[in-house]
Amino acid sequence: MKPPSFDYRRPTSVPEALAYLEDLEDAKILAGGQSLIPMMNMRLARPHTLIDINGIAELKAIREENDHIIVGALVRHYQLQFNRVLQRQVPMIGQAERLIGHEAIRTRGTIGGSLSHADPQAELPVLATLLDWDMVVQSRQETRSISAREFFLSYFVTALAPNELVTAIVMPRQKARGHIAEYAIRSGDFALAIAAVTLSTTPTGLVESFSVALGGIGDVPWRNPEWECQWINEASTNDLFRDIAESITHEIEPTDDFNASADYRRKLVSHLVLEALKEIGLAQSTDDGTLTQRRLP
Amino acid sequence: MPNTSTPFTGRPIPRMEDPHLIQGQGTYVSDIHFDHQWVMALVRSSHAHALIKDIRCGTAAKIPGVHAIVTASEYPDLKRRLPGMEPMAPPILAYDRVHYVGQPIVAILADSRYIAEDAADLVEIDYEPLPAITNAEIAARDENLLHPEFGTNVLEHFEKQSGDGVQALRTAHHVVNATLRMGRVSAQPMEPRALAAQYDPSSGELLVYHATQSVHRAQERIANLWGMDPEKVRVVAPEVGGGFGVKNGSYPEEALVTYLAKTLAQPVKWSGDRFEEFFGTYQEREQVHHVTLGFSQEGMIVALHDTYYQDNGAFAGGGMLVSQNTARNIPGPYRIPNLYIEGYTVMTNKVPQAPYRGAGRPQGHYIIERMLDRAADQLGWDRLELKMKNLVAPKDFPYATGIEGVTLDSGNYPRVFQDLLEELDIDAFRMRQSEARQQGIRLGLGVSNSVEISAGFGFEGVRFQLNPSGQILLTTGATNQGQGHRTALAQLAADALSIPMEQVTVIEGDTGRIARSIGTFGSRTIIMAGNAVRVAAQGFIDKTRAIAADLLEAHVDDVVFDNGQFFVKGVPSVSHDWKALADAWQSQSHPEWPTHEDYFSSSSATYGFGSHGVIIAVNPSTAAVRIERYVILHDSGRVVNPLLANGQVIGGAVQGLGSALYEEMLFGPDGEPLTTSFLDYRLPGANEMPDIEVYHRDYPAPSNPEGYKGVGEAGIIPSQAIMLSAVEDAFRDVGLRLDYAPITPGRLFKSLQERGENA
Ligand SMILES: Cc1cc2nc3c(=O)[nH]c(=O)nc-3n(C[C@H](O)[C@H](O)[C@H](O)COP(=O)(O)OP(=O)(O)OC[C@H]3O[C@@H](n4cnc5c(N)ncnc54)[C@H](O)[C@@H]3O)c2cc1C
Repeated sequence: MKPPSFDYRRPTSVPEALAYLEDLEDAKILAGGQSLIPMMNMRLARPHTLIDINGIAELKAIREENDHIIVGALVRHYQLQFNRVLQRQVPMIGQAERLIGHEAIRTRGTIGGSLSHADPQAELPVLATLLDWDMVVQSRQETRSISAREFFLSYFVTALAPNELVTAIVMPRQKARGHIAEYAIRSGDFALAIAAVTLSTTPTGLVESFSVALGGIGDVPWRNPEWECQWINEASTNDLFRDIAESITHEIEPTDDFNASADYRRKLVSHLVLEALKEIGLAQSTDDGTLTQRRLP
Repeated sequence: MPNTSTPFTGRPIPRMEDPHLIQGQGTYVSDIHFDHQWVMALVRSSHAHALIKDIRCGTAAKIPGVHAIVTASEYPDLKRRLPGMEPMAPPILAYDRVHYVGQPIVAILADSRYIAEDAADLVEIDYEPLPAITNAEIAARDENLLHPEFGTNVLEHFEKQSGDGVQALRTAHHVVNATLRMGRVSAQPMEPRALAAQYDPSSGELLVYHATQSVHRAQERIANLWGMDPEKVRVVAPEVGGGFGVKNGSYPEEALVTYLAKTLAQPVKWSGDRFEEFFGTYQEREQVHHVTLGFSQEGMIVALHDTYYQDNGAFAGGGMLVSQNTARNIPGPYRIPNLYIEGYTVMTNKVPQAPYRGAGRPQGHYIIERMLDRAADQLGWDRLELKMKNLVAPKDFPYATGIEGVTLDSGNYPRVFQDLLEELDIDAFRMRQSEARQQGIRLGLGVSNSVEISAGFGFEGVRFQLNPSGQILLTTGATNQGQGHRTALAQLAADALSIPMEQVTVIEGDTGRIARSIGTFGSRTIIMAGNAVRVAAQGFIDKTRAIAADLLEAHVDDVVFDNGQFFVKGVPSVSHDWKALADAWQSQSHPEWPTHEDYFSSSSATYGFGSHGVIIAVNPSTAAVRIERYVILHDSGRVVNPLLANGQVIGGAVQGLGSALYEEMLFGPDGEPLTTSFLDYRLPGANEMPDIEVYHRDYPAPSNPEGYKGVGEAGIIPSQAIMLSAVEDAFRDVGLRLDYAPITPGRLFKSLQERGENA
C-alpha cells in the first residue's frame, strides 16, 4: 500500500497550473487528496506528476453574483457545510455535507475534487445534477462551462479533458425547498442509495416545480426531467408523494452488487424519495418564508 | 514506612501504559529500524487455485534499491513446510501450485517498502488456473482434491457423544431441525502483523522483533525450522497493537524474515499492510451446522445432534482447534443429557482459519442459543422461559456437560439470567414493542446466556528482580496486545510485596528475560500469570529474606516479612524495606541483582458466565438495525481491575456485534476475496454502538487459588446469536427465521422480501 514514485509541483496560480497540465505527461491534480491518495496507495492510480493546487488562493473563494453563487474548486467540505451564504442560498449543500464521510475527511476534501472524482455514490454530484450546477473548466486554450448533466459520463469518468482544471462551480440560488436523504450501512459510509428532491407548490397547493436526482444506483447520478414533468400541477399531498415514490421504482435499473441487490436499492430509493418529499411537505406546512435548512434529528 | 493502605487489586486503576501509548511513544515493530535493513514485500497469488507455470523476475531485479528477489526454486529451503500447520502445511513460498488468493510466492528485499512494491509489480507469474473449491460441504465429498498428496479435503472428522447420543432423539416428544450458518470474518487488529530480524554471524544470535502473542512459541518454531539452538534466538514482542488470536500462529512471513536475515546476514523487516491483513492473515468463524434438538413434553432438552462442516481454508493449522472448540461449546450453560456431535474440518481454496477471539465459543453458543429460540418459536413456547428452565442450576455443580474436560463449576446461572430479565424489564418492553408495531416501528429483544471456558492447560510464569532504589522489575513471557496487563500485573505485584504500584515495572514478551511462557490468548493471562505472581512473590520474598537477615544480623529463619518490612520475629521496631535491601545489595557490589522466577500450572479450566440482552429497532423500509440498549450481566470471577475487565467485556461485545451486523469476508465463484478493504469490510464504529451496560455478578473460580476467570472472550460469545434472535423477535408476528450470521441489511432485506414483508 505504497504509491509508485511521482513528481510533485505546487503552482501558485491557475495559469501556472494549466501550463503544468499542458506540458507534463500523465499529470494529475491534487486537491484534498481524500480520494486520489488512497487510490495511489492502492496503486489504482499511478500519475507521473501531482500538481498540488492547494497553494492557489483564487480557487478558494465563495462569491455571490446576481442569481448565482460561484464556489471555487478548492472550497472544502467543511466550508460548504458552514458557509453563511451557502446556508442561505443553497441550503441543501449543508444538509448533504453532514452525510459525507467524517469530519477529518470533510476538513480536507474539496468540492472540485469530489465532482471531478465522480464517484457515483458521492453526494455532491447528485446535488450538482439536481440543482443544475455548471462546472467552470479551464485549459491553457480556453475556458468553458459544462453543465452537470453533461459532466458525469460514467463511473469515475467526467467530460474533463486531461489538460483541464475545474476552477469554479456556478450554482443557481436554490428556489424550491429541497431535501436529501440517503441510506448508508454505517454513518459516514458511502451510501447504498441517495435521493435528493426539490419541490415547490402554488398557493393553492399544486406542484409548481419538482425534481429528483439519485445517487448510488448506477454509473452516474440519475435524473429524468420528462418523468418529473408528469407530476406538475398535481395536488401536493401524501398520496401524490406515495405515487411518485412508487412510480420511480419503474424508472430505474439499479446496480446489483454484493453490498445491495438491485431490488434492495430500488426499495431504498422509493423509501428515500418518499422520506424526502414528506420532509419537504412538512417544512412547507410550517413555512416561515425562508429556505434555511431544518435541522435533522 | 508500613504500607497499610487498601490493596490495589480489585480497584479500577487507570492503565499505566496509556499516557505513553496515547502520546505516540510506544514502539511497535514498524518503529524499529536496523541500520542497513532490507525491507520485504511479497508477491502473492492472484489465483485461488492454480499451477504455477513460470515466474519471471528479470525486470524487477533491475530496479535500483532492490537487493534480492527470492523464490523457492532459488532458495530450496523455502520449499519446506511451515511448522505448526500439521497435518497439511503449506510450503513457505509457493512454487508449483497455489491454494488461495494471497499465498506468498516471491519475496522482494529492497531499501524501502516503496521500492519493494515497485519491484513486486514487475514480477510476472504464469498460472494455469484450476477449479476453485469454495464450499466446505462440497469439498468434503472429495470430488476435487486441493492436495492430491493428502488424499482427502477432510483434515479431520471427529465425533463427540454422551449419554445415548443420537439414539436418545427417539425418546424426544418434540424435535426441531435447522441448518445454521456463519460467514467468514477477519480480525483486523489495528496494527497489521510485522517482524524485523537481525542476525549476528559472529555470535550466531538471531534477534527477532515480532508482533506476536507468544514469543516463546515463536522462538521454538524459528529455532526448530532453521536448526538453531533456541538460546540463540531471542524473540521480543514490543508494543503490539491488537492480536485477537491471529498474531499467535505460524505464518510464512515469520519463516521468511528469519530465514532471510540469517542466510543473507542482513537485517530484514516486514511490516504488513492492510491488504495483507485481508489477504494473508488467517480468518475464522465460517461453518455450517445441521442440527436437531429434541425436547420432552415439558420443554426439557433431551438430546442434541449436530453435524457440522468448518471451511478451514487451504491448509491446516489453528483452525482445527477452532473446530474442536466449537463442539466443546455447543452445550453452553444448558443441561443436555444426550449429545451426538460430529465435525468435519475441511479444506477449501481460501485463507486458512486460525483462532480469532472466541475461537469456537461463539460458534458453539450460536448453535444452542439459536436452536432454543427456534424450538420456542416452533413449539409455541416462550423463548426466555425455555432458556431459563434448561439452564444448569447451582445444585448441579460440578456439572459435567458430556464433553470431555468441560465441567461447569461455579456461579448461579438462573439467578444471573433472572437479574438480566429484570434489568431489561421484559413486560414493559413487550408493551412498548406492541405499541411501536402499531406505528410501523419494529422493536426486537434478544437474550443469550454463555459460559466462557478459559485456560485449563499449561503454565505461565513471572520473574521478580530487585533493582536499585528498591524498584521491582516483573517480567513475564505473556505478551500484551492492548489488554492492560502491565497495570493488572503491577497491581498484583504491588500487593504481594506491599509496595506502591509505581515501584513496579512490568516487562512482557521477551524470551531474553524469562525462560519459558506459553503466551497471551484464550483469556488466560490473568488466570495463569496472575496466579504465578502470587507463587513467585513468595519465593522472591524467601530469597530476599536472606539479604535482610544479613542486615539484621539474624538467622534467616527468624526474619519475617510483613507489610513491606523485613524484621526479626517479635522486633518490628527494627525493620528494613525493599529500598534498604537494594541499598545494602548495591553496597556489596554483587554482579547480579536478586531474582526469582516461578511458574503456575493448571489443567483445570475456569468457567465465567454471562447473560446478555439487547433491544433493537429495525427500520423495515431500509432493513437498518439500530441497537437501543445492550445489557451484560457478567461473572468474571475475582476481578483484578474492573476498568480492564469491563474494557475486555465491552470490547468483545462491540467486536462481536460487528460480525453480527456488518462484517463478512465474501468470495467470488473463483475464490477471489471481494471484501479486501475497509470500504467493503465494515468494522463497527462508535456511532453504531450503544453505551454497553455491564453489571457484575462475580463468583470466584474454585479451580485456581486466586479465583480468577477469563474475561477476554466473554463479550464476543453471544453476539451473532443474540442479534439474529433480536431481529427475528422484531418480526415475530410474521414468523421471520434467520439462519445466517451476519444479518447485514442486504441479507435482512432479502429475508423480509421472502416473507413478503417489505413490498
Ligand atoms: C473514509 C472516507 C470516506 C468518504 N466518504 C465520502 C462520502 O460519504 N461521500 C462523498 O461524497 N465522499 C466521501 N469521501 C471522498 C471525499 O469526499 C473526497 O473529498 C472527494 O471525493 C475528493 O475530493 P478531494 O478534494 O479530496 O480530491 P482529490 O482526492 O485531491 O482528487 C480526486 C480526483 O479529482 C481530481 N481533481 C481534484 N480537484 C480537481 C480540479 N479542481 N480539477 C480537475 N480535477 C480535479 C484529482 O486529480 C483526482 O483525480 C470519503 C473519503 C474517505 C477517505
